Amino acid sequence: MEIMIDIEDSTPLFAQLIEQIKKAVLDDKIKPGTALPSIRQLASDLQLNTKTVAKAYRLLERDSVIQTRGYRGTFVHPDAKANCKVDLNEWVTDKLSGMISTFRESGVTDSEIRIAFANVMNNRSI
Amino acid sequence: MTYFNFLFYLVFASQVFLVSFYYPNRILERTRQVVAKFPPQSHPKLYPKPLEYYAKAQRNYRMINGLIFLIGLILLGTVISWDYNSGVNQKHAEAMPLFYGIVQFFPFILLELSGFKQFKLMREADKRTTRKATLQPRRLFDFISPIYIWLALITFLSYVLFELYMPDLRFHWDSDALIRISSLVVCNLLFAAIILWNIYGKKLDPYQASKDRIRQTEFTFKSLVFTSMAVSLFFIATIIVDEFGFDKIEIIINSLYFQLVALLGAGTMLRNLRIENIDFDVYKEDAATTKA
Repeated sequence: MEIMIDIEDSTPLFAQLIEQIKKAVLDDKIKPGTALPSIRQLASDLQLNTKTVAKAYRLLERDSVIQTRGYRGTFVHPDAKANCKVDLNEWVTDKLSGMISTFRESGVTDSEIRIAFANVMNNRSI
Repeated sequence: MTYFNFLFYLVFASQVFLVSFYYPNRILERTRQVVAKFPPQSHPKLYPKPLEYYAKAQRNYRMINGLIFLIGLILLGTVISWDYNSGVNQKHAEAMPLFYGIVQFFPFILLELSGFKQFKLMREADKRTTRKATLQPRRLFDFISPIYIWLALITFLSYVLFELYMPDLRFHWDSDALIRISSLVVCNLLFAAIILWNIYGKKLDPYQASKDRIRQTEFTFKSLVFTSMAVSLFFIATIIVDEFGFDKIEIIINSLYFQLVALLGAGTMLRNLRIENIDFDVYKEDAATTKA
């Protein structure tokens, strides 16, 4: 099973990598439990920085599409196929839209929402 | 002429023929076949330089090997005329297969270096913006059985024990032993570095198909592990002949050692990486415009 990235594509390289691996899982080209190449190997083969591949692997692990088993390496998660269908971007957008609607209904202006959002995002203690 | 002398002449003649004539000609024949079957017109990605450049390189390779082959024949003639057991010249004759063997491997090193240069030129000429990678991990034991690694390790440890405890089973330690053990450690570390580089290193041929890379990696690993065993066994054999007074056969062992190394290197490569099994379509002009 091969993956392909385009270095001139406007999509970030780590996002292309995530998309390719998720596609491979959804198309049953890689099965749950299958071993994946190491970060260093994939970075070398794709001539990418190891940090780029590490970021893609970290996000895939967060989404439970892959799992790291210590020194044994990285494997496709047993529930990878179901987890690939979960779109975190869509989920966050839905949640935010709901909250923004509630604020507007309460009479909060858009600029007040933006300022509050920026304050919350910038406040590391939260 | 004694039986041993005759046997040595035969073995040394075999070393001259095998390493400087037979394998170089097999390699040249293979190159000729590649050019004939996959010419620049249909497979331009394989030729970053004009065809004349490769023809010249082939001529040089043939000339160097021809010269070394001729030197080998002259040496053989000289040793026969000395009749190497006749006294003062014996020591020179014993060292001969070793020194000549080192000279014989010079064209093989040149060939490897020109291979690196060729791949560099191919990478420079490669202007694709897309890149491909296989999702299959490359791990040492996917390519070679752990048994062979253990065997190589046991052979090496056996050599160290031979070096330190032979012939009277008492511990001996001197600078010569240190140099020999260190050289074997360096040799094995070099092999380990090549193996690691094959796993994690950059792909040399930018167009090489994944299955060809896997096959080549497997061949490289096996070749290196068997060579490591051969080197340890050679050192053990040298100790045995030194300690037990089999001096006469040392010269034969030296010669056989180089033939074995050639067999494990060039021989295995020619046998395992056959042209018909390699995917040359990746070098076609209209091949997928994706970096593999």
